[in-house]
Amino acid sequence: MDPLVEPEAPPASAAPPGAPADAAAEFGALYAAHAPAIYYLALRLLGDPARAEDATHDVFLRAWRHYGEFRHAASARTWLYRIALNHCRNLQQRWYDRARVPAAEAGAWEQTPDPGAGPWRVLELQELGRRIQQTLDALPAEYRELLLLVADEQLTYQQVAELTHQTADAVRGKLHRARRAFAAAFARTA
Amino acid sequence: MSTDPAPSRLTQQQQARAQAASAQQQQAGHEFATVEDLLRADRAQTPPPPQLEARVRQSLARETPPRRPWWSRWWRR
Repeated sequence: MDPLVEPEAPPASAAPPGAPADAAAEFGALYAAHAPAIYYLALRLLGDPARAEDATHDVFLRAWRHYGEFRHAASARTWLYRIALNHCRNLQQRWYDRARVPAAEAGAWEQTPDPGAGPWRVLELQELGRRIQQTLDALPAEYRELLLLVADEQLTYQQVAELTHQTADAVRGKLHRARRAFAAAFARTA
Repeated sequence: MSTDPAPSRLTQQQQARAQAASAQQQQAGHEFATVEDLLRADRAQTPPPPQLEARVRQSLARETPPRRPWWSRWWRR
């Protein structure tokens, strides 16, 4: 087989020409399945669509470079999330971490009265993105990451725990406080 | 020409009921049971920009194809 022939890939594939056909097709499917989740995570962590696009691009580029080492026994979603989290954390440190609420102030949310567990009402879905971004920006980074990861139905508590370097029990405990903090901050955006 | 006002009145009542229901729905907005549901709804309406895929493809085309590690090549024999 001529190695210069462009491998066949699905139409939605982001796989590059010149790559082995099986790896290219696999990676194309990987992009199609996980790019929306990675982009959303990057968008809400970085708070800027252009930066989120750049970050998602860089995550998949990095993933491609290490694709040969990726063990298919592991969850591709978790693997990509790990790359994305590390990348976004680095960017935040470099760019505008100082403008955010530092993690040391996480305890301030403990004093906030519990506004209730819901239900959550939003008049316009178009408003939802703006309000969620404002809310997440006001939270400590740890809460932000936890809420975004737990909202992904494809991740288990154990996987969230591994991604955030803690136990599943710790995730459950912090999640309760993160939800409360989110509720209080969200109410202020109305 | 119809002279019976009954169907017309019925239609008006139905329209009024539909308008009231619609107004009520608009006032109530969208309801989510949990924070996670709220975030999922936000994610569902926030897809990646359409140009991103082409951009990724172009960048990957400049990369060398990923090499499988030695153990993977050995395992596949």
